[in-house]
Amino acid sequence: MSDTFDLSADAQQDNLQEFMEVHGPEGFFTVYFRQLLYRFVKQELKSAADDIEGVGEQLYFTEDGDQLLTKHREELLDQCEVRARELVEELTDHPTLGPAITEGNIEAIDTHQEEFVEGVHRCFENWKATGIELLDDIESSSSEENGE
Amino acid sequence: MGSAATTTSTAQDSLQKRAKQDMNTSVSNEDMKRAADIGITVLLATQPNGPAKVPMYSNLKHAYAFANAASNDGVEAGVRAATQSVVTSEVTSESAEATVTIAQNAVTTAAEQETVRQGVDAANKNLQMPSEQATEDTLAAVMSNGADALSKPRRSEKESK
Repeated sequence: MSDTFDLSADAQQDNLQEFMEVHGPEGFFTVYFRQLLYRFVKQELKSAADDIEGVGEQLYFTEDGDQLLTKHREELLDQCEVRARELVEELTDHPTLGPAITEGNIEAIDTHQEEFVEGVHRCFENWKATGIELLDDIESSSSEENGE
Repeated sequence: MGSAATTTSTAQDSLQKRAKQDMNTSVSNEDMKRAADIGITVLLATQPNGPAKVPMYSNLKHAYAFANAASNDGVEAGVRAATQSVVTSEVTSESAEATVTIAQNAVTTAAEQETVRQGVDAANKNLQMPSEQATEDTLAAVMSNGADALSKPRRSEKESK
């Protein structure tokens, strides 16, 4: 991240307090998942570079690159945030895990680790179905364009 | 390995290769929304389930424990909360950047210990690395930017299509 670190420990605490007051535990979970999804996508773009000719590698290696790449990273982050919100909503909708998260009760969250993993799995399963449709859509439209 | 498992694995490899090609094409076309969607909905969603998710869970839990305690009682209390019994460094005299690093290291150490205790295979690196990076990103963003680390709440929004 490009955040600057010229803050005192007190200022950092103030920022944490402000964040928690405005966004709560759900907000913290959302930022974490946004960053996790973003890091995963970048990891996969980089790993594709060895065997697939593409520009993902540029996105990865020009960390402080020009304005266009900064814009691209922001667009990636925006979409990751949309998905992160979906995931956190799925978790907070759970009848027992949800209240533990919204109350920020770590002990209670910990007793529901299995539900957490299940909730993530369920959300991913839903995403997987739409993701395969996305891939198939472009292939079928390419076939039509080629008269197949 | 039986033939059914082999077929499934082959299909999975093919799906992942198609997804990576599509992601790179999307980046070439400056369609970052699609690149993110394909990466998340195909590549992330086809990662192994169950134990592979433990590093994701553990890092988040310890990072939240840090943030919650630090927001109330300061960053040193946050580090203690994240690590519990782990011996921690003195943080109050450190630079702000070092504080983030100490907090991130404390969270990562605690998460790794928890992951090992739960017998998670060390081979599950595909999610472990992004989980650790997300911890550092999140702590740096929240401690540096406060409420601006996240846009305003939009709990019911679903605009991913």
